[in-house]
Amino acid sequence: MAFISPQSDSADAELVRAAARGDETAFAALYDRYSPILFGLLLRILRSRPEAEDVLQEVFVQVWQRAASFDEARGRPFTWLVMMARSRALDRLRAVESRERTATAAAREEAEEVSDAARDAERAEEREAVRGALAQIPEAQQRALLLAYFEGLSQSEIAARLGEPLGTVKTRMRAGVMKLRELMRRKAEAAGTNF
Amino acid sequence: MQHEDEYREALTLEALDTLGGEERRALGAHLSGCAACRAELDELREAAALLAHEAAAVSPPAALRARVLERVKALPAAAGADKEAAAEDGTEAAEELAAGGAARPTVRPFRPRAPGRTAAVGSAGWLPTRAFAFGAVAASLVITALAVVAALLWRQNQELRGQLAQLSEIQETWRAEMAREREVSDILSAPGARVAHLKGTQAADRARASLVYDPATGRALLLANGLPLTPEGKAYQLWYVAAGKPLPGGLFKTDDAGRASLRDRVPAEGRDASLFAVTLEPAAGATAPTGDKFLIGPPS
Repeated sequence: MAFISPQSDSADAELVRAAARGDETAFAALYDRYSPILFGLLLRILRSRPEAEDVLQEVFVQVWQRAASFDEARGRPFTWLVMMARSRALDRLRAVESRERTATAAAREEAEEVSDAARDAERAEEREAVRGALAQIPEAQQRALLLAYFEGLSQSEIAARLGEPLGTVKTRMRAGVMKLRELMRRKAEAAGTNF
Repeated sequence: MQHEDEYREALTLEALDTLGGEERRALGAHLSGCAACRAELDELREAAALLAHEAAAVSPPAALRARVLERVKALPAAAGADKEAAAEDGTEAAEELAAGGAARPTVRPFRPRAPGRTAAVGSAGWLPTRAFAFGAVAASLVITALAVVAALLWRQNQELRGQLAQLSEIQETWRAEMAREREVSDILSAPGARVAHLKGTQAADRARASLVYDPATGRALLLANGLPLTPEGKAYQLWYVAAGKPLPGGLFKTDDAGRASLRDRVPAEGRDASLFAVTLEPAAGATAPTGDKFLIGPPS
């Protein structure tokens, strides 16, 4: 599914395929392109720099080991990587019983993209598009989505946290995801041009 | 799309990983028999993944990069090297949902890996307590023989481990292949499947291609032959032309015989495309066609 820049998605998919064949340069390029966004995601979920560093390593080792199972027809590399990172982060979060998690300054550091200018522009555009879309959806939906995504709470936990009925929370999350998908489709459409 | 509406709530909640227990099991059972819902889930996961942008991107420390690159050097490429590792990663959980995405996070206690069992004879503790001259020679011969056997066993163990790693790798590739096979047959057997025949242009008049796709899921398969071999630094790109607008599709290269296959996803806006084309583009592809057209065709 194309988003803002199908050609960079295609190029990244080729990197993943190359990494699956053992191409270390391609793998390093993947690391350079995606580690900032994944590290940021891990920091947000784990709220602990040492843990985020740990998990980031594990994620990329997993990328190396599972590269052959990436399927471009099912989705873009961004999604594949983000899902792996989030999954490992939530596992780590749950495995640790009770922890003092201070919202460290690390979680609020601003981006320092390592990649080239063209990538920066695309990533920034993508980020702005997503944040713009989220800003437009009702706050209640936003809150439910963010709790689900970054804290890995179950439906009932989210309902309890928001002090709302379970049914309402489910509806909100569903509406939120549908809004994101609508955004994705509109942007993908805009990516096509005339003959 | 009616059908997916029914499952939409479950699918969006699963895309956010908040579906659990019985609801999740029920969805999993449905998905193993429903390609349309699997495709829908894939797309919803794409949408959910966008939430990652809410977190600020942060550059990790430089030392981490070196460490990661070092670690993968020691690993075989794209291997499920250790079956135990694959299980720990929740591969089984992912399959259970028949959608093959990242596994649902599960709580698992950290388990240190079982230490490799290498036969280690000849370590301390074998010293004979009393050594008569003859007995000592005999004893040391025995020890030597045992040490040799131990070394042979150890080497065999290493070989077996190597084979196991290879088998795991093959199994992993096989699993990916099987998943692909299933998707191909899903496309071909879908009730609404459409076929388009593409013919070569003047640039390649012997070229032919068939595009089969399922508008319901968007999954597409292109099979082409008779194409000129793909030049270095270039790739063929498929285009879906809807309302006069060419929408970019996937990239592919030919084999030595000028044949190629591509599994792709028809963009949502392209599902009623009236025309398809293949052009030659730079290897990274393009958002609009820039190169020569090689194949072009209407749906039948």
